[in-house]
Amino acid sequence: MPPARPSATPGPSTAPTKSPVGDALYEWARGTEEPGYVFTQHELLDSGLVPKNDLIILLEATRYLVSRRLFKAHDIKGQAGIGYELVEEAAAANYGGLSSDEQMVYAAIDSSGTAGIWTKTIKAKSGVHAKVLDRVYKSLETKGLIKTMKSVKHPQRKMYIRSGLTPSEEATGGTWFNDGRLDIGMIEAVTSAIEAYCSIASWKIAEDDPEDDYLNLKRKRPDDGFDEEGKGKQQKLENGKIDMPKPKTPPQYVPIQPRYQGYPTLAHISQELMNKKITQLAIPNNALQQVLDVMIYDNRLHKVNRDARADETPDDPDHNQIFMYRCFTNPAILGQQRNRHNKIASHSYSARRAQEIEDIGRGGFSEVPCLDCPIFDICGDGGPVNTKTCIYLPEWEEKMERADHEAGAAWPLVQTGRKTQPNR
Amino acid sequence: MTTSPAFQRLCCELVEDHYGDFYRSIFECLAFGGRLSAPQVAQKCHLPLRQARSGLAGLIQLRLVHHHTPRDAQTIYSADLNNAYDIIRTGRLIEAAREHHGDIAAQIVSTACRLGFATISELRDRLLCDDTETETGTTIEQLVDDLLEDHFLIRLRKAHFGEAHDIRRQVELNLLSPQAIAKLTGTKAKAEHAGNIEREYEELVHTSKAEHGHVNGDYVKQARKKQSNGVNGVSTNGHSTQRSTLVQPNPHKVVALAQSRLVGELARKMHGKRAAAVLVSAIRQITDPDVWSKLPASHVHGIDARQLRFGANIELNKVSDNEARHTNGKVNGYLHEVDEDLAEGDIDRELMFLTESNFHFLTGDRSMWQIEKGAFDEWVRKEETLRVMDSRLEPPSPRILRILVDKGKLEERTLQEIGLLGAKELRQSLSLLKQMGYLDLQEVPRNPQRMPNQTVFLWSHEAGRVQSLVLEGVYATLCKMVQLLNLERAKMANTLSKIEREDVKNKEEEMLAPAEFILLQRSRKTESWVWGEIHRLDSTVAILRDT
Repeated sequence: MPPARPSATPGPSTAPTKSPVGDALYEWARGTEEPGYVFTQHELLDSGLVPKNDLIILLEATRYLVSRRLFKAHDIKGQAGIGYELVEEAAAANYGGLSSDEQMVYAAIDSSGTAGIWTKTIKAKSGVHAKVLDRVYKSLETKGLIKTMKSVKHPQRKMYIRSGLTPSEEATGGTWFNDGRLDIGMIEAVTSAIEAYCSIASWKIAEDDPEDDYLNLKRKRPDDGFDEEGKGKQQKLENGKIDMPKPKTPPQYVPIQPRYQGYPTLAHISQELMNKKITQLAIPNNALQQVLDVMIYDNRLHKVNRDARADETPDDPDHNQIFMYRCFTNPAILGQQRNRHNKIASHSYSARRAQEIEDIGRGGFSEVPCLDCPIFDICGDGGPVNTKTCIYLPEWEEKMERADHEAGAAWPLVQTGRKTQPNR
Repeated sequence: MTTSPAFQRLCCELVEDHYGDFYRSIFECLAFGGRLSAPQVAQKCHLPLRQARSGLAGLIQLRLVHHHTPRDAQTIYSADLNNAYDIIRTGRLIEAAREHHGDIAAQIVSTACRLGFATISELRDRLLCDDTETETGTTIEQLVDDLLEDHFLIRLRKAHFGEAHDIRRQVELNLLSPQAIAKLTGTKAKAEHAGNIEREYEELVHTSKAEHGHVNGDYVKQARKKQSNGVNGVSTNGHSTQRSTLVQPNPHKVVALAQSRLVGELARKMHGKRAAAVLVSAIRQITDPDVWSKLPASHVHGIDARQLRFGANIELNKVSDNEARHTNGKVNGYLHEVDEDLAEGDIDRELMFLTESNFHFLTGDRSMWQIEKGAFDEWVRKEETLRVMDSRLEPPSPRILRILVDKGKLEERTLQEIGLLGAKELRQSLSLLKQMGYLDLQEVPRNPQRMPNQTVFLWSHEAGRVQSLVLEGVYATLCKMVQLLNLERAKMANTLSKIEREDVKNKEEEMLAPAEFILLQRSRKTESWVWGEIHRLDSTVAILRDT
């Protein structure tokens, strides 16, 4: 009888159940390299564990290990032949007790690593019926081998990942994403902190000028003194005199001299955020750079270059430049803006109107109702909508009237008898 | 020249608003009908030829119509839409003249606007005839000189009555016959011919080159050789020459004011009023004197330090006076520095601050500063476009626009990463921006079947197209504003005709019924709001179209 030849395509049905050579090879591989390393055929032969370097024995051994999921077969890029990836025993043990469908699905999920895999892709790879797949997913989830995952790039897709793994940054979106959603609150907190820090670092407090009068908001003490009783919190000093609280003068800010080289860099900002403990974990530099770029696009910060020193890693290696970030809004103005936003949030009309006026500036472009009109394109002479029949123009006139009165215009409001305009 | 329908309609509305429906009908016929002869105009407007000719003469006088008489052909007329649009700017021009040179100067400019154009002696005679308090004729002539120097008025030349391409064609035919032009071969010869045409054309239209010996005696000789009996008759008598100089108001001055206001506002927000005053003074040195004498885009202008310091201190005091009236004088944390003039070191310091920020057109160091004209024009247009778009958009759309302006064409995914935006929010903003016309979408298919899931979609922002779109919207809005003015006047027609009576003039409160008087006040207030909006929109036009 001709000798038994091993099958060219080994599979579970033909894999050997025992292989001392295989066990020895696995032990040797585990002692030599870390899990995940891909051994070539030559390396396995060079281990000296294969008797007479017989390829058939090697094949049997590797088939045995592949069937037990201790080795994973790969095509090695750029070389002919197959490579064998070393798998941890614990990871291989997960396959134990799984049905063939479950093993196929789990293998597909396992192979995707931290990127996760779409259910549609699993279905295409495994060729298993959808109902069977649903059962398999439930079974694997119950066994704690897989978990669902959200991808920010494909929020509608149902994806799975191996239980012990953390989804990659590409899938989760990175530092600024939480459960697949952009964490706007965190971004706001970080950007506010950065803006405040850069603002303080970009301006200096002007020196006090004792000649300044009310414009510097310093009250001059009158010759006969203030009315000492009943004003503010008074503190009795040890000698019985009353210490009047000094009126708080808001500091005046002036810009730092031109060509200043000390504006905050990425490293300074990162350190500041860590010191302030704005976030629980340190923000990686690439994520911080992302936020700084966004703040530049929002006109909250401005980028300035300087030459990198010898002990610094340049942000722009081609020109050996470090990027600094400065803020053109001084801390006093920033504080006012924040207060106004808080007031707007609490529905203060005057704060809202002040913000409107600041946003418009002296241009007033957006106060004309025409350009924001939803039917601007069909408004014209002879049509159903024209200057005569427009309902927005009278509203605009009333708004101007109110604005004039707020500004203290001297002429009276007139009820012209116009009926209330219908809702748009 | 812009030929958008909205612009044409706006110009017709302005002509009717100021000069009546007779002139409007002729102007509209030319604006929409193109270049026509007098009989054609008469036919289209259903007017007798005599009336059509007198209407055309009136419009030419008002500088609203060009005329051109080709060799051995009938005179043809075309509407000057830009001059018609400039009617909007006359009020601001007069106000600016009042602010810079006083009431008499404002009256001079106002008279010039009313007449369209006039000689200096005519202006003087008109002002002396008016029963308002005026100075002597010599003062008026001095003021006219000041206004000419400051470009509130410009010298009018014969060539300005024709269209630019007609003048060039005329110059070309004067230099070479049509047969000789056809025989020109070689790029060098053609380039030389084009250069000659350009030089001759500039000599004819450039307003800095006076035709009357004002500036350069040699030029007078050349001008005498070239011109026979032009409208600007040349005279050997210097004094009468000056008096017979034709002048017209220069609405382009408003463009310079709009530019300096935009630049000043931005500089003030970022660096305070001192830096703003310095920058505005620097900008004034490079703004175009008028539409005929624009500086080329490649022009790099060295800033005159002495003039800069002088202008900056004037600007600073002007701002301080305004602020003293309205606020307590603190801007961006600066102390109120009313009385301190800028020293030379201060100027350099403020300019250094400016060069460190967004004002990239300003370059130099330590008293050697310069501004590149092309970069400045582009910067101003870009800032105005962004300002206009920002005023109509809610966050995060302005951020998306700035990213695309900076990076060019991007995919949605890349935009999401760079802009730190959620997918849904990004998509909503992109579709809104596309709907408003601020963004373009380009499909790049990966396969011939153009399957959507195999196609790359690139978003981009094209500045030129968006500026045209914004201008279209502004023209249409201006048209509606002018119509609104007419509506208000129509409502108050009875009252307005009453107050024009001699016995009611200046005594409205006494002579009108109280309710009628209140309605009149309200109507005037509405008119002032509408004019305020018109001027704000005109600033946008001045920067986007005329810069």
